[in-house]
Amino acid sequence: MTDPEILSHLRSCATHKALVKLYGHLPKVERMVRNNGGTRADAKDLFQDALIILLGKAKEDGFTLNCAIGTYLYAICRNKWMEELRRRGRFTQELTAMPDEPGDLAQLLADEGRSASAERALRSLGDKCLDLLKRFYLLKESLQQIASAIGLAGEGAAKTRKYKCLEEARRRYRELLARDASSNLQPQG
Amino acid sequence: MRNELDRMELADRYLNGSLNASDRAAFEERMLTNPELRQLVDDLRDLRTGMQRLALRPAVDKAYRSYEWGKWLPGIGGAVIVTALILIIPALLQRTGQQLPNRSLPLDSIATEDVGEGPAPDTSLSEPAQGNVERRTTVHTDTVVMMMRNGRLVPVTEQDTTGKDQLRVVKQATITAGSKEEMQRQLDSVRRSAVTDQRIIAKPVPPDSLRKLLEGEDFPRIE
Repeated sequence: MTDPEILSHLRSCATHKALVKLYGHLPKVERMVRNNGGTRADAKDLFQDALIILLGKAKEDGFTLNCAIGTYLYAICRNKWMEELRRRGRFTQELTAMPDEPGDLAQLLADEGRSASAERALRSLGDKCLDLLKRFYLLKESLQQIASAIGLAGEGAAKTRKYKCLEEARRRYRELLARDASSNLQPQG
Repeated sequence: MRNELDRMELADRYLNGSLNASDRAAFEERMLTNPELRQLVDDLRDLRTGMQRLALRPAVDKAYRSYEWGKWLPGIGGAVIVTALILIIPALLQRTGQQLPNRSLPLDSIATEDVGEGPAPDTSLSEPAQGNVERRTTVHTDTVVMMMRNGRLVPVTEQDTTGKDQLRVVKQATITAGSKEEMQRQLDSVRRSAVTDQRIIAKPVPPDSLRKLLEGEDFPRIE
């Protein structure tokens, strides 16, 4: 599969094959991470985050890639790993970039940091809340449907429950953002 | 709380794109002057993105498992092929009448030796052209069974042939020169003894040299 083919697969429903193919870029990331104080599991987490970013991007209208997919994934992982090393308070030199790495990753990575925190906040919610939010935002069920599915009195009750869950998610999200901000302010090295 | 709830509902619908044009414009105007509302919309937008990420995790994990399997499969496939070859090659070699490697005696070798002058044998079986010289032909004929025992391939005797794990056994016979029918009879009896066990999988096939022998090409024809 060529890069454009992979991208079109990612956009359509046939993502599985494309994703499996993309994991072929994992070993390089693994080497980079393991040579810089990380484990195989760190590399896998990093790489999966990069895949998710790519998946999100690929579905955006007008997304074009001005480098090889492998380079794109590697660049995301490299930047995130440097960030992680700084967070752990370890002195790091720039990890070597690939020659054709895109230069406009800064905004992407800033956005990515926010949505990763949002995901973490959602994950930390209780199962009931997460289930309700999934039904609403992912499965696009109506409040009425949700109410009957999870045994609430009616639409009103579902709306209130959803509000409470979102409010809690938002609170945790703010907390995570504040924590990240303070850790970024700490002196490096 | 009612107010808060309505505000969030409105923000959610704004992000949905489900507000009508005038409500939308009004909402955007409120956002300009109300940083708190703006922050709420930003947070809800991020949470939506977070939700999308959460939804993608299972697909990404599933692909990882397939990828890990894919790494091992060629190895497993290779092992299967190698095993199959180890099991099949002896049988194939035998069918084509070729020699198996590492064998002290060629499978289908035919040794003909003169054993000196002796009493004139029964003329019907002797070779008239050679007078009193007896000619003995030794045929190392078809292999039949070897078996896996404790992980090693070992030749087995006929009473060892216990079933599925047998491959071949070496059969050696001495066939004395005689009429074509006589030699054929001897050879048949050797081969019958090798194949009496029905569980033997590789049935002997006469190698070319034996066929030639029987057809008299390599051996003086006996009329």
